[in-house]
Amino acid sequence: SPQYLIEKVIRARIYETLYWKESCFAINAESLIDRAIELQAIGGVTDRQTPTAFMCLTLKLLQLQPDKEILLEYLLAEEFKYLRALAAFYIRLTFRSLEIYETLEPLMKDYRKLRVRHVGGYSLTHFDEFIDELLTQDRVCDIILPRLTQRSVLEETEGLAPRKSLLVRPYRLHSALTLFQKHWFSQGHI
Amino acid sequence: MTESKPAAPKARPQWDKSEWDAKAKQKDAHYAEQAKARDEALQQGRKFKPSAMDNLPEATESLKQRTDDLGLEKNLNKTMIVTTTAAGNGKGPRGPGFYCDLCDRTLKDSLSYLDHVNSRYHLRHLGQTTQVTRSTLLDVRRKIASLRAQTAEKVNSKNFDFAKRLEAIRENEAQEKAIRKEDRKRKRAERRDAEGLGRIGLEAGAGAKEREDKAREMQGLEGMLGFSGFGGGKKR
Repeated sequence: SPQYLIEKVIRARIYETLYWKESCFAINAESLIDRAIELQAIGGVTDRQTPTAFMCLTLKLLQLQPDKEILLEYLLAEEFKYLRALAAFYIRLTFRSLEIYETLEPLMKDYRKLRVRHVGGYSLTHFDEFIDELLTQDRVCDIILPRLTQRSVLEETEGLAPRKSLLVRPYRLHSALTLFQKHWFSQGHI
Repeated sequence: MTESKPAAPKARPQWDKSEWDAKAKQKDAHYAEQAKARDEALQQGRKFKPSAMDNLPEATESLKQRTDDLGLEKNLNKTMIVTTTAAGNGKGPRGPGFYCDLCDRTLKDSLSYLDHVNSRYHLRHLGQTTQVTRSTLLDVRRKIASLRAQTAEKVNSKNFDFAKRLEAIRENEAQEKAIRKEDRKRKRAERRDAEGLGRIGLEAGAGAKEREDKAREMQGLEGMLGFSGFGGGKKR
């Protein structure tokens, strides 16, 4: 069952919180959007092992198991960044490796700030930092992420397109190179 | 030992014996039925599980979200008189805590109250099953579109009222300035007044009568001495 992706201790803690009992009861994929919009921060557990609302909603999504199309709709709602972060997190937890790379890498365009709630208070991160953590780290928001096959393996076996960095603009590359060449040779290097 | 009888003897509680007789008979019948069901279950090898929900009708609607706020923090930091109804005296909250009137249960704790409100027993009373309706892609799309419209509206309304808000703020500032000016004027006048009184030798809060007396006194003094009097200098 996908609920068991969150380990027993944290899951039990989530079931005991007021937020879970009051606000996460009897919601479906539609009413979850209302809750996700009211989110103020992402994060794992805070002081004394209390889970954040973000974690409660993740567990609710794991309980509901909405269709893939619904999750992609969540991602398309760009204005609501915490809803987007929640959807990205769920995708990382449940989708297949190929689909994870295909859906999460374009999200790195987003450089908005996200508030992170942790033990002792809040800190700041960015959306693309969060996506990068999801793709490279083992443990994000105090949840152990399932194994993600390496990109090179997927490129060989399943024909994943090679990584396209959003920082490089292809049509300028040639002119940049020639400028560099001119500069280099004018300095006297051969 | 003298017998000290009260003037009017207190009325002893009376109850309708036939009513309570009927109630007792009902209970006996219920237990007899249960015993029969237990026997049957034993014969068939099943376990007998009496449930509080046996007599309730089956649930028809699907699980729905609560629309109104539960009001868990309604009575926070308030001192209230607790309404008590002794058990068996009818429905009502049995002491402090959260009362569920649908199920006639009092719970002492907000967490246990929430546990009750989310329980199958309470949902059965509401007529809801424990399965929530799955929402489709169209529902989600519509919802997101409506939320987008709402947020756009909010942003627009703020911009529209911006000029108005600036005007209101300026008005408030002007008013406050005027009030402060008046206060200052009044204070200055009072200070001058008190100074003047101090020179004549009266206290700061002297009334009209005292001022008249003092004036007459001064005139008398002038007549005698040729000068106005002592008590000069600034008010101490």
